[in-house]
Amino acid sequence: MAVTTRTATAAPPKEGVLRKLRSASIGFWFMSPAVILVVLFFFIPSIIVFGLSMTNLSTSTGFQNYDWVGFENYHKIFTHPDAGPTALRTIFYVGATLALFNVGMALVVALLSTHIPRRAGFIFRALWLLPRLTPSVIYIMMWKFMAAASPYGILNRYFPFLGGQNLLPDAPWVFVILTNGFIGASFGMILFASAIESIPRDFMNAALVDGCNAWQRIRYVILPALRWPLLFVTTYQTLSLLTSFEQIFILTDGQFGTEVWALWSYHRALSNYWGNFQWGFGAALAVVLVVIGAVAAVIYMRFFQFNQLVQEPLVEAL
Amino acid sequence: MFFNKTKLKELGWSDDEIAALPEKIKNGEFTLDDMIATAKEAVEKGVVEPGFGYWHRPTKGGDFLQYYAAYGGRLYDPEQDKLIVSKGALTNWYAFQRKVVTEGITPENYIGTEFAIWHDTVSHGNALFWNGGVWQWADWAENYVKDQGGQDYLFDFVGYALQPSGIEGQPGVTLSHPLVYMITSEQASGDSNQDAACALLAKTTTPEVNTMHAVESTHLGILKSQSQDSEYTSDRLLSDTLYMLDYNFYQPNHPMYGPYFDILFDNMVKAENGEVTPEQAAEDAVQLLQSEIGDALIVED
Repeated sequence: MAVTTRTATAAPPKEGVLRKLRSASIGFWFMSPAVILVVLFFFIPSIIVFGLSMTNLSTSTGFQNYDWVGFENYHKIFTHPDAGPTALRTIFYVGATLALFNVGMALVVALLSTHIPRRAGFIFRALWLLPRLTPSVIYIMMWKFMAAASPYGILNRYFPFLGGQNLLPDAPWVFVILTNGFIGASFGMILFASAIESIPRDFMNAALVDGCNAWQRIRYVILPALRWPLLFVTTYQTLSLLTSFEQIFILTDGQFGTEVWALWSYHRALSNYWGNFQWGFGAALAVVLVVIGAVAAVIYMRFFQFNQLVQEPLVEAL
Repeated sequence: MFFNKTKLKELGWSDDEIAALPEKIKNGEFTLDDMIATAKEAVEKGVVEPGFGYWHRPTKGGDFLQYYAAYGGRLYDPEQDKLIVSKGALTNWYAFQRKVVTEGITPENYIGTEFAIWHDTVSHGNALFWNGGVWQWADWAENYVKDQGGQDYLFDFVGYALQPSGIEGQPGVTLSHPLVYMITSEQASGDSNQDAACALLAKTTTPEVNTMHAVESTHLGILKSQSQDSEYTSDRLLSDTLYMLDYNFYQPNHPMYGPYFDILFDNMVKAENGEVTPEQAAEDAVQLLQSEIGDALIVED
């Protein structure tokens, strides 16, 4: 790696500015594909959806008879009897799935699979990827037939003490969290496992020499090294769970008290047997999610001290 | 409503009584309460397994409104172009859905059962009473009981009637769900071939073509002239059920009907599962309806 020496006093000010601009613009050009994608597929749609939420556009108004209604949709949301319960349900769903599976189980599987022979580790991690790879309809159908009443349901057939009845209406959240969790865990598992494997062997050996037991090594050597992946997985999976509803939709369609906010928005805006799609109201529901997601992301970044993690290394400031 | 003739006979009904059941339902002499009592007796005497006395539709669908109508519930006022919710009928309907669970003739966690399981169970005669549609007959014959003899096997043990009324003396009801052909206007589509589209529809909306469809898939005809078509009249199921068209009702074509039905159904599920009492479910439903539908709704007792 070449080392450039800078003698700041010798170079004229204009050259320094040009060089700074050029190095900044190189960075900008590298980022531009991603920036363009984010602007095109996130910022602009967000603005459009926000605009939509200020109208009463629906299939009954059509594209020609809609009105601009300002914040009326938001007023409707916040005075809606379902809003509070749905919000609480969503927080419960995101929190439980995140803690138990997307971060929790992912960490457990990553730790376990990196402490066994490497090949075995690969095999287990590959198995954990299967739920994510299976098409969601097939995956959920499997779960539905696990929970079905006997003699069709697998669980009821082999465990008669469960009662023999369709288990899904009795314990809907168990199945919702399990189905989403098994899929979600694989994301964190891959990131954590590769982060653990890239911890320098010297640290691990030093810990062994110092007399650490496994738990102390995990706590004092491995977890600190996972700070960045943990931030990333937690933030990403929180936002992902907040906006996900596909599995819940196929599993219970929001029945038995499992309608989360994203599913509510989908039901209103895009899914009605009699064809009344309330795009304006659904858009308002979606905007609420975007706001909550953005706030959550900012909080996470503060909590995990994001600034510190992306700070330029102090070494170069000599 | 379908019923298992063999099981009714095992229960002690005579052939005449079984043959007279559709007529009694039509005249309001055999009500939903009578149906519950019969199914309960069947469970107690071991003629059917517990929870197999009455199998209504297992998933969301307009069929459930038949029980709202069975208690006198109204859906729509065409003069004012507004949806109606009849609180009393709503409460009675929800109470009926809960009662079938508490009396042990329907399982508690029944809603959400896979349709494949439902078809398999009812077409093999494991339930005493069940709600379905004429179109399912061909489905059962072709996909579930083909090896046992298809339609002949079904005719042997399955009887069919209107949905019993909830009120003594009120005739039974049934729901029809006609669909409408729509031709996009010139303004919307940019095409000016509306007349040609209409002519094409006229060519396909003939008694012959629609009877072919009706007989093959056991759907009802769409033209009155089909009832004179010999193929239609020679189909046993279709001609037997023709009288039901005098007792049917439709769901209204109102723009807010979607949310209306969603709310009624969601609260029905809560009442049936025992999550809330039927009275509370009806109150919640009316409150939600007023919040969602507002001015386009009439609330009556």
